[in-house]
Amino acid sequence: MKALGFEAPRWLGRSFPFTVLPPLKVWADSFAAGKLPLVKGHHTGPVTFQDSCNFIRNAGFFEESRLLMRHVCTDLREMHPNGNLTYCCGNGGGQGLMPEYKKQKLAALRAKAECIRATGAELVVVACHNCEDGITECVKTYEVAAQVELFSGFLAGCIDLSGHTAQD
Amino acid sequence: MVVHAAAHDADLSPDGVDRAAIRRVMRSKAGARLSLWLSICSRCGQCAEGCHYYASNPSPEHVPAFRLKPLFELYRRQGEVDREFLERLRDIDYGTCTMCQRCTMYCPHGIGIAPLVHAARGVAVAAGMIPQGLAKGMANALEFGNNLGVTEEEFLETVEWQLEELREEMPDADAPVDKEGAEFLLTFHPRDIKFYPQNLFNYLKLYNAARVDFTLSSRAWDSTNLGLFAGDVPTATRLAERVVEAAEALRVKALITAE
Amino acid sequence: MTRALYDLFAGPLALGAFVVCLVGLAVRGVVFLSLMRREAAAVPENVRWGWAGLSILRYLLPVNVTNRVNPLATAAGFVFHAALIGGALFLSAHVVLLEQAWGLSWPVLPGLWADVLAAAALAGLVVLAGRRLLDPKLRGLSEPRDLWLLLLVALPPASGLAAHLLAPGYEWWMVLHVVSADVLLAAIPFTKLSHALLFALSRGVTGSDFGKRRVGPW
Repeated sequence: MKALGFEAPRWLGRSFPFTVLPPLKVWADSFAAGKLPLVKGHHTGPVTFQDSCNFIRNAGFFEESRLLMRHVCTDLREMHPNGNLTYCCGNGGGQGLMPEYKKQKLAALRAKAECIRATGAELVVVACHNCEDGITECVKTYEVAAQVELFSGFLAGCIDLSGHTAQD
Repeated sequence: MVVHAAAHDADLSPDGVDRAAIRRVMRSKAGARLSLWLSICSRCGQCAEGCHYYASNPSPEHVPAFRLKPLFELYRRQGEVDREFLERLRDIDYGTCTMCQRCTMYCPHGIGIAPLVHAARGVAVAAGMIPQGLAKGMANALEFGNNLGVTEEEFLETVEWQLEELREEMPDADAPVDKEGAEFLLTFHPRDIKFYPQNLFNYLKLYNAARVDFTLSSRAWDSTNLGLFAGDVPTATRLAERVVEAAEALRVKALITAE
Repeated sequence: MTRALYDLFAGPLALGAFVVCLVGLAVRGVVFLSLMRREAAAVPENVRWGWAGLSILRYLLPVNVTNRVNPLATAAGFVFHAALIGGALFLSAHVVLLEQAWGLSWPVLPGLWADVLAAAALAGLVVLAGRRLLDPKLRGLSEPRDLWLLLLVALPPASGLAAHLLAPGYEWWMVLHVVSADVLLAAIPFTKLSHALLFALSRGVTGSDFGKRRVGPW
């Protein structure tokens, strides 16, 4: 969202004839409109959600993320702080591509690791690829017993396929 | 002598710092916000609460406002800085910030520290001090249209392959490429294509399940922008332009960005 | 001699200081707004005034996230600003001067408040200075002028209080009072004290930027 949604009009010096949306906004809108069939309570294990700076803090899609998470999870556990105030995944701003600064990056993930550990969640759902790497390194470095999964995969696993089984 | 003359033309100092390039980028960054923010930072330190570097390791150099010091100094000295100064700027502004903007929530003045870190990175770019990993990704993105160097053929094959897989459980699934007038243009992180095609599968499954009218672009499907991370605005602009032009050409109503 | 000095610094030079302060701040505001306008020529700024106002209000009142996590700094900063501005605007001695000079007048605080406000402002400043000197994160951040400015801001209330409480040297304390007040006023547009006006612009811009994205007023 930062690049194409917010900065690109300034970089290119013009407005665009289309809007820019993150995937989770499209999924949430489809779901709210009754078009995306997701099985309610499909995920029963303890789950937490990493609020990415791209989609939440800088773009305001907190409610959309929770609309989907609350529907498909029976045990959603919030980190503290969460939402706009959540700690960064540690991997923003290109940190994933700068091995020369990796030591500092991992050291800075301690706070996040304790947030995740405190939830007792066994799975951290991440909506952004940078978060996926950051949180994976976070739980590994600080030995938090949690898996990491992209939001897309997490939701794709809950799709009710009954409307699609027969050839249209 | 030739080296000498060249050095003079580019305003290169003996330590190889291109001051003219640095001053050019300083001028280009000195917009309304930057000038305002640099002059009113009161160094009150409240932003420390906002930073996960500080929360995890509370040392003075992890206070977000600390990252503005090199930039502040650079403008005060009007670009008259040496290599050592620039290396310090690079290590502070690339090495201790993820530009997540959390600190701005804690700044009483609402200073956008991330945009200022971005500006400082731009100075490092002008000084030829861009971190190698970012430079390599950007070179790929400029050459191939995505930062992992996936060719158009590989992309189309991967889409075809994942669509076939998807059709086994969702026979009516589709993944139209370059379909004009679709409502959404779907874009990706290149690793969804190169390393984790399962991600592409999941995306296609979700949009097909929601019966969303979408399309993919064969030439602009990577919506990541390493130029943004690097602070390299000219490159960031070229990368963004490619996706914007594809979306315009396909006359979509919305672009779905991967990050 | 103190009388002549006092008259000079409380008279023509005070006027000069006010002019420098107000014109200087106005220029800074105009420069910012014209830069904004130039940038908005390419991409409309699309200001969200409501979010901007909310953001300003939120950080003028202790109802924001920073205040929750840092109560001591918040209390010190809040008390200091309120006492300094309240004292400067509503002490009878100040209003009398204005009335004599330019015929402007408004309600004043009872005399007792002069000492209370000066003491409160100084107490706030002591906490802020103490943090700056003792807290490692602020020591690493601070530059010499951060402390010089704290001293400059402390001088008017300190000398005013001293003039009232210490009978000997009254005239000299008053001279120091008006001199330091003039210097302080004139320094506002050229230092980080310019946040007196620019705070609202910066907060407003950030509030608008994040309001646009539906994140909230921050």
